[in-house]
Amino acid sequence: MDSYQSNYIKIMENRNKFNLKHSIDVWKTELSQNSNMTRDNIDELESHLQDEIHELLKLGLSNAESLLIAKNRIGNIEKLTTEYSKVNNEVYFRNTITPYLKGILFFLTYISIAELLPNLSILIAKKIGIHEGYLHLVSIELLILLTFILLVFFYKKYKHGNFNMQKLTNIPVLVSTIIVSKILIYLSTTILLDSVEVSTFGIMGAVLYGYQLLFGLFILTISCIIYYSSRHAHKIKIAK
Amino acid sequence: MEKLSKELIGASTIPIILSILSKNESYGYEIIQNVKKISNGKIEYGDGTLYPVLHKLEKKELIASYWKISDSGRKRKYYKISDKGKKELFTEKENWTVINQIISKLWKIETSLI
Repeated sequence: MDSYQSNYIKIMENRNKFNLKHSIDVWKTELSQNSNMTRDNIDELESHLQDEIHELLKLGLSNAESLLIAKNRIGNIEKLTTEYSKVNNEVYFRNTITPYLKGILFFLTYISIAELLPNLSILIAKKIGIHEGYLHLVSIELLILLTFILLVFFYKKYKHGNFNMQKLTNIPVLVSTIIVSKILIYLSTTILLDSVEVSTFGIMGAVLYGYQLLFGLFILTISCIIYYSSRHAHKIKIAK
Repeated sequence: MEKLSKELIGASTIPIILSILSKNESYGYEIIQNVKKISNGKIEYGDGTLYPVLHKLEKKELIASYWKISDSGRKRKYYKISDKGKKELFTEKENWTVINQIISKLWKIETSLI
């Protein structure tokens, strides 16, 4: 009985340890990620929320209750997005376009790195002393390795339920990676042209072309699976 | 207490906000509370709906905003009326007076008929 009581008291204590500041921060993060509001807009709404909470606390409500009521009075994210879209057209457009842009940039980065690999494999082969006839094998291995790393990375994200891609899809990082890869491709090609036969580049190009074809096919398959499975999940069966 | 119609509240929002700010600089929460008090609860702006209106007025340069630390130590975004806003308020006052005169005239006639 004693242990039951102490457990009960502990649970109630935890309930009372409601962290108001943390909850407000969570609300602010949700707003910044899912609405068309600027940082300034969110800071202003936060100050409004604080005023509202302050008044409710004076009435004798708890932190959690005050926050809940104040949040409800301000309105949900959809309502705020509609209201703010009247003045924040540019932000709304920017927020909508950014995920697409990030997707395109991420794809371009991946393709640029893949394009760099044939030249890298020629360099490695020359260093180790592999015959030019086997160059395409080195190139294929490197491309498989790149794909494998990418798949393992995404599988881990999927398994942990962590879909936060902010670091990976950071636009400046992606853009600089593309630029650096392109410069490296150009430099390595000019250096290698002196010592490697042009036909070798042709073979490597063919390998890369084949890889890109397979990769495209892979993305198409994944897209089809995701499209049909999400359609299936959203379907509501109407009862006769 | 019956609230005013949406259309009437919408039409009067700009003159009301400009009038409040012409007396004193203020922030969103205070403006909402003020309007509620002055109108005896007949006009109650939604918490999330006033700010886009304020931002629209700011874009039109009728009001200006700035962040200030209030007496309670919290950061608040204050709004104040601009010269352009004062001119706009003057025009609004004239327009509303005209409407008021028209309606008063019409209703006076009606009552005298009865």
